[in-house]
Amino acid sequence: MNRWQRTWIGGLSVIVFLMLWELAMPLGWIKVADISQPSLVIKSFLELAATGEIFEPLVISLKEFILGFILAIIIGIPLGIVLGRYRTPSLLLDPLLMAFYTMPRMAMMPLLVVWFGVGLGATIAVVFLGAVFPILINTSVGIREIDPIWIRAVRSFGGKEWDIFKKVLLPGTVPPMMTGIRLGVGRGLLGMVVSEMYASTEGIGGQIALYGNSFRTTELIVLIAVVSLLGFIMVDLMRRLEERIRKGRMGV
Amino acid sequence: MSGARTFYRRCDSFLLGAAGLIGFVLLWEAVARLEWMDPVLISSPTHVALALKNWAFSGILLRDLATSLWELAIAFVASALVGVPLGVAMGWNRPAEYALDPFIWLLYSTPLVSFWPLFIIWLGIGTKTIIALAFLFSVVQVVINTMAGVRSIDPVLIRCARSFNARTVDLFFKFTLPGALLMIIAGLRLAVGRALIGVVIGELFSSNAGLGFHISYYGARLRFADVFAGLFMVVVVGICTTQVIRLMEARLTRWKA
Repeated sequence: MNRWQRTWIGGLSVIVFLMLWELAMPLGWIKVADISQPSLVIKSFLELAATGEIFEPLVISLKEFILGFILAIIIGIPLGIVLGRYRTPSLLLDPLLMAFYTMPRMAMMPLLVVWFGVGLGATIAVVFLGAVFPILINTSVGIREIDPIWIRAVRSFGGKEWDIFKKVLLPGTVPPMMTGIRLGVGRGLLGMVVSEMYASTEGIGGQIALYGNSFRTTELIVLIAVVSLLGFIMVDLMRRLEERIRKGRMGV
Repeated sequence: MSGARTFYRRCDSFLLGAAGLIGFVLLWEAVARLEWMDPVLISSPTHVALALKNWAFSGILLRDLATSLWELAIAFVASALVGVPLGVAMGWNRPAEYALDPFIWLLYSTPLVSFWPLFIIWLGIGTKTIIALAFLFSVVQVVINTMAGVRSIDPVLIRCARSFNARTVDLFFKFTLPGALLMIIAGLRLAVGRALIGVVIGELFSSNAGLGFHISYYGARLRFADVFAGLFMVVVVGICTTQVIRLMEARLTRWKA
């Protein structure tokens, strides 16, 4: 009953919003700016999709995103485990990491463009920088929150450091790690779009900048909707995965 | 000997943290001096310090800082004024939550920077557009945290108040708002960081003053010492604003301890 209510009220409000948007321009409620219309947006989506102006850039963008994100996982998770397990390196790096974590990494764009080259290199770098910190920090916090009794238990049964890692640390840190990965997906996508809008004409961000510069609102809204939907699907997927893992754990 | 050891034990987080920072700076300087990497590309701490000094003494730092902080302040206050009531409404009233939920989640997971060209078309290039982007970045966070805060109040407390004949107004001001305060402020703390990201990205894309402008201006001229100086100032602003809210948090939640 409750679930059903959520669906119909949510759906209704979206429909009302779309209708108001559709009527706003023809009825002259909004005169100063071009906000386009949902019907035009859908039409223009079909046209752009047919000419390949959506999916080709999207494939380029996704490739950059995935490469940067995989790099972030490869570096973020092991480093997070080390920093969570051992006190000295974590204290050593703590202020540095905090400084990086507070800094909007997107502001490094001008540097990254020169260091790694416009396009593929810079985008991978900024996706990596955006995603790696949430992953790293959540993983290490997860490790720190593991009950030390379990580690002692492994020790007292004669377990080595490797056994602790395999039997306690790795399984114990999975839920917070997933939270980090979910946050990282959002940050990484933001980095991807910023990079493409800032310095390259490739990818979906490049398309957004292109249509923005030529003041074509309808096409712009199509592209924004595509990016939004992409973000929504990816974050939602991660959230479901996270919940499933967490639930599976509760059952044990 | 044991005195030194206990001293180390007590302050090890501070000592090691300082050692890490100093080590990083020294390593950076060494890499630049010995030209293991191109000094033009990575600059060096001494050059960055020099650039920072020139920037400060020329008076432009003050102008840039004032511009960015002004934009940040307006965006942040606006997002608090819009976000908190919206979040309270969504936490208080189920149908309101269901109605707004799709929009909030969509905005939460969208790379919001994609709205930038749209804002330029609507508002023109300038401070207004930057503020709009920063507002959008931060408001979602405020709404989500406020809603979670209102939701997190123990229903038993509410039922208890109700059974003592509390009016809805009392219930709201004496239970819901104080109960949610902790989460709301945590949301504001996250929001100020996000607003800063919005301000810097906006200035990076198009502006004629501000920290982000400084970064992109000198970035385009390959003067990376100035770019690092700009990044340094952004970190300083980020830490200071977050710290101010932390102090507020400690003060407002003293009764909880």
